[in-house]
Amino acid sequence: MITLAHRVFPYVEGHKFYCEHWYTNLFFNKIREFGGLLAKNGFFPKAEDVFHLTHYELESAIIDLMSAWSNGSAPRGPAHWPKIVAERRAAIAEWAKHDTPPALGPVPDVIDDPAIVMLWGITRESLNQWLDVRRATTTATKCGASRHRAVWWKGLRAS
Amino acid sequence: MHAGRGVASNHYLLETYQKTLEGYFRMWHHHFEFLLLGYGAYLTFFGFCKKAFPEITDQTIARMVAGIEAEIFRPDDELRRLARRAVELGVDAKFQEGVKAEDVLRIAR
Repeated sequence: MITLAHRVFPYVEGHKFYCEHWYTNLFFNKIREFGGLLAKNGFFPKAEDVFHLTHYELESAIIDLMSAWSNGSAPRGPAHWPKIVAERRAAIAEWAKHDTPPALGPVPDVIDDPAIVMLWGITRESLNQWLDVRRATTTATKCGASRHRAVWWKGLRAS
Repeated sequence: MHAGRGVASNHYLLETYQKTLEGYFRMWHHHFEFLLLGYGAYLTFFGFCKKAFPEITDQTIARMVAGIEAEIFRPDDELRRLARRAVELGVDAKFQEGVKAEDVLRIAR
């Protein structure tokens, strides 16, 4: 069994380099190239703004541009995307100002998934710790939640 | 135009995009295979150790399978080696914070 563990270990550790680091870099840079093309055609101000679109939206934008190119009409994107991208940018800027709780959702009685314990070190003790923090800030949060929403909305409208 | 392909070049823009996404999704399949098969082996071993040696600590088990020559640290190690070499050769002053790589290479020549 130790032999097996030693055999698989390079894949567990090393795959990160090839998959997460290298490949995702290549992927994001390729998407950035598409962003550059769309930015050049007035779909949004900067190539980086492409990351404000979902991959479904990006496909529709590419089809919009390539169809307009082939039939000689103007693409619809420049009238459609800049406002949406600006709203999303403003929303992210607003959310960045607010803290998030350490965990969300219903609390399990026990952590019985060994992967969760091993990878993230989340145990019954850490759950208890988080619950104490949550109890202490619940009242504050309930009052603050509607204030947060108002601030977020105001931030959006201001952009 | 004379190649008789029948497909306009704008189509390849879409094709490239779809291939980019497809490759990305496929990479994640490989990722999870590497990861989960690996963890399967770890956890089986882990479970066995705990059963055979109830008092063994998690850390002791982890040390038996921990990494020695992690490939993932090679880039950092290479940079450190080059940094040491730059100091030895007396050119470390050329490498300042915020200077572009192309500029440093140009100055170095």
